[in-house]
Amino acid sequence: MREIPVLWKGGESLDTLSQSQVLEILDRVMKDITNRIVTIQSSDKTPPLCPNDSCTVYTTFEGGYRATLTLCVDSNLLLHLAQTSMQEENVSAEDLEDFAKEYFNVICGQVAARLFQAAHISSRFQIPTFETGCYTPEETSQELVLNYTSNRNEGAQLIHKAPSEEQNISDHTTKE
Amino acid sequence: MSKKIMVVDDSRIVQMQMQKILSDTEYEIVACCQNGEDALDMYDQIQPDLVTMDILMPGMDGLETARMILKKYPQARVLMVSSLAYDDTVDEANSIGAKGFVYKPFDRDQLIGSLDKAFA
Repeated sequence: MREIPVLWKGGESLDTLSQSQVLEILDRVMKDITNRIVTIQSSDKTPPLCPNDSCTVYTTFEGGYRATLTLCVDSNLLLHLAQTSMQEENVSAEDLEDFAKEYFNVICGQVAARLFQAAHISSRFQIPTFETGCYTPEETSQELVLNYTSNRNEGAQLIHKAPSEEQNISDHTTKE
Repeated sequence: MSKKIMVVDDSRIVQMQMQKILSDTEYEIVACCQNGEDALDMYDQIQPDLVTMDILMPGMDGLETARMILKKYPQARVLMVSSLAYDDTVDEANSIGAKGFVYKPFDRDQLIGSLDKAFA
């Protein structure tokens, strides 16, 4: 089974997590957090995310766990999540962006917590960045993509991108 | 008499959520700050009974802000509120003297329960 060489601490490789372990953690967190607000299911198909009607929020993990995590979500699903969470029918664009960043912040915090439980590696992540439009995953072996749909057929994609092995080795050497 | 709460969180959504939860309780939000630097200034001005402190914020993070508040005001009550809910972070919060840790996402019972405990 392929392993993801993303776990480094103090310049030394401490552990690795298998691809399936990382995917399982990401999937569980995504569903746990989102299903408290709006029901979503995993989907085998890539959701039909329209660039003009989607939003993207992303961050970079640093420390023991190094990766970029990106959430691309149908704008209607994001609005539905914000309305339900805030218990407000009218959600301004500013509030929608703030909600998206906080929602993703919670997802990333839970991912960090569960990775710590699984591998005893501590990590932090940068403040999430929000953009309108849809992120297009690169066709590389470093990306893991999880697809979701809501009951109203709105889509979301959670994309995990590990740094390349070359980058890991380069950073590793720099730290030494 | 209500207890004065200062909320430090860069998310207005969280500030609004806390405002809703605490609106009919003995706790009154008297100030909201979106970063650590503002929180230090505001703390000097209003001397709240408790500060809820996010960790991941622009500029100075919540742990450093809490450390500076508690260094200057050893009697201050600081309650960490964050999604970074794992042992390392909780241990660090405890070591600097935080009164507790509320994990995001939180609900009414979790927030009020932690506030009650911090004042016990």
